[in-house]
This record gives sequence, C-alpha cells and structure tokens, in this order.
Amino acid sequence: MAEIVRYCKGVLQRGVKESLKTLYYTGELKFGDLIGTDKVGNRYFENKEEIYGRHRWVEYANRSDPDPTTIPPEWHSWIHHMSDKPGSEMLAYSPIYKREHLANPTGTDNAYMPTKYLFNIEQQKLKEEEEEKKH
Amino acid sequence: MKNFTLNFGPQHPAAHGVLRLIVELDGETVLRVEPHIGLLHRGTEKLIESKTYTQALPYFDRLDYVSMQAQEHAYSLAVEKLYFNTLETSISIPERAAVIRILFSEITRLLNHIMATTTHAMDVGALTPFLWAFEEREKLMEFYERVSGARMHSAYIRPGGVSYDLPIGISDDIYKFILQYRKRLEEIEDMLINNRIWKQRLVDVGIVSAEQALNYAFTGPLLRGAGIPYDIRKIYPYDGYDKYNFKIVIGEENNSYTRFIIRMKEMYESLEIIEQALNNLRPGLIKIEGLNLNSPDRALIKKDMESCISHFKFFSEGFVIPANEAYAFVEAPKGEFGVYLKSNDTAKPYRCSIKAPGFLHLQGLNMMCKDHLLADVVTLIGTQDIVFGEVDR
Amino acid sequence: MSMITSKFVKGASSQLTTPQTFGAVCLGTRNFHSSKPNLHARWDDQVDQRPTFKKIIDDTANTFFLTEILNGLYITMGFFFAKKCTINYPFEKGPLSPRFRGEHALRRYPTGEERCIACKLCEAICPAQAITIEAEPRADGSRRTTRYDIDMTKCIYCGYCQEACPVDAIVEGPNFEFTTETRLELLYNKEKLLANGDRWETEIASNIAAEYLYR
Repeated sequence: MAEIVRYCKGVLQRGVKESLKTLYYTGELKFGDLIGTDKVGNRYFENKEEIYGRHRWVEYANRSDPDPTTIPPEWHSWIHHMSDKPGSEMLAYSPIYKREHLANPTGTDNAYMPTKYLFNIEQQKLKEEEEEKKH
Repeated sequence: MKNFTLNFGPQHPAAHGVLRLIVELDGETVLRVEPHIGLLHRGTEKLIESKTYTQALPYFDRLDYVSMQAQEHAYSLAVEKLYFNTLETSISIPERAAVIRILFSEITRLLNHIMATTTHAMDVGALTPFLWAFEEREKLMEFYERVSGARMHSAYIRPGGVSYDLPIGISDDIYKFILQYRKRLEEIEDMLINNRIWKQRLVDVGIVSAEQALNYAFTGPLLRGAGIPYDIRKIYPYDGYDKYNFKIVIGEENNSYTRFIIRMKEMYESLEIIEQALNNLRPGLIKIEGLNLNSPDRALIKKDMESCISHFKFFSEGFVIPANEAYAFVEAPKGEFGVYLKSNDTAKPYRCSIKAPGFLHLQGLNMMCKDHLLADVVTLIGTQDIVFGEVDR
Repeated sequence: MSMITSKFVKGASSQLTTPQTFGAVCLGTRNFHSSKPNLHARWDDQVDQRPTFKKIIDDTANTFFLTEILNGLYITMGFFFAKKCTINYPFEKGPLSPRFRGEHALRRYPTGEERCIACKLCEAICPAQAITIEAEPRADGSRRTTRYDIDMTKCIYCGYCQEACPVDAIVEGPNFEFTTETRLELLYNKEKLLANGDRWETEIASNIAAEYLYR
C-alpha cells in the first residue's frame, strides 16, 4: 500500500509526461528528496523508506546515454553508500591541485594512450618527420 | 544397441567449470565416465616456488574460488606451523585473530554451501532457489568487502593473524544477517526438501557405502553422509575450534538427497558458530607483532626507526624460515583441504603441494556414476561439489 | 579425541520398500522411481514406523492433491509480491566500503609535491610483477621516479602495494568503472596515475581519513 502511495507521489511530483519519460529512460519511477546537483547536471535523490541499498539514486544529466563514470568523486562515496556526506560537504577534502573530473574517455579521441609504446613511437616518428619537412 | 560415447564437454553450463567428461552410454545408462581435467591448470604450485610467503597468499584465494578464505586459512596455518616449529619458544596467534579467523571461516562455509546446494538445484532443474540464495551471498560478500576491500579474493587471513581489524559496526550487521538468514534457509528448504520431483531426482543417486568412501579418500559431506563422524574441526581442532559448541551432521544412507540435507544442516550449525564467535570477540591484537611475519603499524613506521627497517625488510625480502616441512589441513566446506610446505633457508618456499578435496572426489565419479542414467551424471557432479580451480590448480 | 555429538539425518530411501525390476528391460541395479511407493516420507521420520491408517490416508491425499508442490508455489507467489532487491544499476549503485580496492592512483602532498620517492617496495611486493619503476635524481636533487608503470591487466588488485608504500603514495582508489575498449589503454604510466590521483584525491583523502586508524 505504501508503495502505491509512493508511486503516485512520484507521478505527481513530475507530471504525467515527465514521468512517462522517466519510466522509459530509467525503468522505474521513484519519489525522493533532491539532495544535490553537481557541475555536470546529475541530480542526486534519496528516500529512506525504500529498501536499503536502493534508497539513493542518480538522475543523469544526459538521459538518453546514462554514463555512471560522470559521477564526480565528491558524490561517488555518497552514491556508493560509503559515507553520508553529500557532495557539498565532501569538497572540504579537495586539494589545491584538484583536476576536473573526467568521465571514462575510452573509445573517444581523449582516450589515454601510454606514451613510449611501440604503437605511439611510430606515430611520434611520423610527426617528427612532418615537422622536419615543414622546417 | 551399441555403446555411444558422448563428450560432456568442457563448455557446459552444468559442468561446474571446465570439466571434460567422456561418457560411454548404453542407451541412456552410463557404463563408464572418464573425466579429463587440466583445462584450468595455471601452474600454481610451480609459481609459488618463486614467490615469497606473503606473495604466495593470493594464489590460495583463487584455488577454490567459491570459498576463498578457507584456503587462505589452510595456508596461513601451514606457514605458522612451519615457522613456529623452528623457533625456540612456543607461540601462537593472538586470541582475537583466532576468533576472527573462525568467524570468517564459517562465513566462507555459508558462502560455499549456498553455492553448492543452489547451483546443484539449478543443474537439476530447480531454478528459483539459486536466485534467492545468491542475494544472501551478496550480503556475505559485502562483509568480505567491508573487512578486506575486495568482495571475493580478499587476502585477509595471513600468516601471523589477520591483516586488518574488523571495522566498527560489522558485528552488529553480521548478527542481523544471522537473524534473517534462518528464514531464507527455511524458504529454500520448503521449496525443495519435501518436493516429490526433487526426491525422485536425488534419492538413490550416487549411493556410496562407507567402505567405498574411505577407499576413495572422500572427505567432507561425502564421507559424513555414510555415517562416519569425521569432521576435522572436532577431531584435529585448530585455532580454538574446540571451545565452540556445535554439532556435526552425519547421515545414514549416503545418497545425493542425504548429502543435500547435510549441507543445509551444516549451514545452521555454522550460524551457531558465528554467533558464538561474535560473542567471543574481545579487544586485543590481530596479528603477531615482533617477529617479521607482518609489517608494523603504519603510525609506528613513520616515527620509529626500527619499525621502518622492519617494514622495509618485510616487504622487500620477506621472512626467512629455516629448513623445515609442515602439512596443515582444515575442514574446508568441500572436504579436507591441505597445504604441504617445505622450506629451505630462504624467504621463498622450496615446494608447496596442495591437497584439494575436489581432485579426489572427481576420481570417484566413475564409481558413483555406474549404472545411472545420463541425467544423474549432472546430479552427481553437483553433489560432489566440484570447483575446477582446486581440481586443476 | 573430543566427544562428538552429532545429529542423524535419515535418508528418505530408508522408508522405501525393496526395489522391483521394471518390466522386461533390466538395466542393472538402477531402478525407476515410479515403481517405488511412499515419496512422502519426511527426512526426519523415525525408522521402523508402522504405517498407521491415518498415515496412509494422509499420504494418498498428498499424492493426489500435490500438497507440497502447491506449498512451494505459494512461497514463490509470495516473492512475486515482495519488494525486489535488484538494484537498478546505472542509477543506483551497490554498497562499498572505504577499504575498497579499485583503480590505482598516485597521490601528492598537500603542497602539490608528488609523494612517490622511488623506494620500489611496491615493485618488490607485487605478486603479479605488474609495477615497473625507474628512478633518477630530479633536477633539484630529490629522488623521484622517471618511469612508474602499472600494467592493470596483470594487476590482481590485492592491495599489497598500498600496504607497502611508506609514504602513502600509491593507493587503490574507490573507482572500479575504468573499463576500456582496448588493452593498450590499461597499461597505465606515471602521468595517468598522477592524473588519477589529482582527480580522485577528494574521495581518496576521505577514505584514508576513515581508515588510517586500522592500518
């Protein structure tokens, strides 16, 4: 009974069209408190009445392509139930040399390539030859 | 009808790993079963010869990969036996370390028996208890992860004690787990034990008499099903098992049904031991300090010179054990798992030999499969609880 | 030898009568179960129990009305209406602890100086020999690495390097979602590890703060 009430609250919170879209993209409708948002636009929700383990969730900024690696470190421990501190409090641990969080870049042009590896040595030689030709 | 040879191939969902069985059939009846093993051989024993005693520990996690810490426990006992016998004074691991080891050995027993009984049920055809039980397994692996950092291959039980202390709150959570776990077991039992289909598949399949079981070197539930009360935790107790109050489960007639029930009942006994172990936890050390078996606490390393040197010596060279040999065995959930270690005067073992129960049980598969039907071969592989990591090493 | 107290488990087949050969097809000692009566013997029945009239009626009713099968179906139906425990993965995630061993990272001091002093303890202890280190004095005279490679495909994620490091330079961070499409991308070098450390330091620092008293 309580589940049906929660379900209806989820629909009311969002409106019918939005809730149909959520049902399509995430597979289920849940009603929860918005705890915070991060820089990329992911929104973090919590609802203590759900079964333990399912009481914290994310709604990603890019709905059609949810990528869990876009979650930044300050929210990572919260969503993985490691700690209860949401992102805003975790930023206190950030160092001065902190870099922007990068989602897993595999498959894109940004992908990490180990330098000084044979594959890259050939490419480096090609680049050096091109630069010599220019000069 | 003439003989028909079938390859119950290495890739088979019911073959519990990579098992190649050449099955000779007369119609549907099995005449002879010949297991071909070695498809998962990773050269464990040879590789251990070139690693120090600490570096060799992760190999043991990966032998029987469904009951990880039982193997680590056997190896740690072997190294301790090897080392402590060469010292002049007699020492043993601290009490809290022994209690934590027993706690996690019994959690490992639960993990293994869940896997054994419900995957056996899945192979025979009952698909639901598998899914219900694996949620319980997830909860147990969460305990492994909270205490060591990894859900499966934890490298937690080390020679000299245990690597990290229990985090705050884990005993309460283990107790809550125990309270609800009995109900889950009862649900699975209600599904299977009285079910006529289950009984038709399992009763009268794989009857092994006590004499045959002893001749084929069976241990564990296969031996206890025949009525022989051989449980290493009672007969050769290690790490303080003699202080715990539990019963061992034996059966009268050794068919697959009896062994299934023995495994289910052993899970109840494990819950008793876990509860007693949680009550026995007292503050104390969790690993031996002073000998070079582990590195000192990190806080000391950064202040104290001798601890820093000890830390460096431990991680670069390891500890040197004079020439000695030792064999240590534990009641792994599948049977008797033993590790034989031989040292010369170096930091690396000269020879490590592993006695795995699955290897010996698989040898008896031919005897057990005689005059059964082809579908019973699947039941028998499941009841023998074979995991290929330890058969092939 | 300590006293062994034990429980006895009766096999259900001890209730069954002697086997009969089934028809003309005699297949050795294996018998078909349909020739055996009384599949409703409970596993904890007492042996040598004479079948009473009540028991016979009960067993016949159980056989015809499929009692225990319906009991099992009732239990399964109960699970149909129960709360499901399946996590909806990309949106909800499984629980981890601060000790979790994931992707490696090289840390720095709060001033920005890298911690690793090329002592090579992690290289010595790695059971899979996944770490390769080369060291040289840096321009300002301090001892640092020129090459620090971890082959993540060889690594067994045991956590020994993190235990060995005397300055807490190499750690196993909490990230486990670093899958790649090629194996080449998994051969991490020093730049990648340092960059990992810079990105994940927020969480690594909070995990170490939660854990340092246990180590």
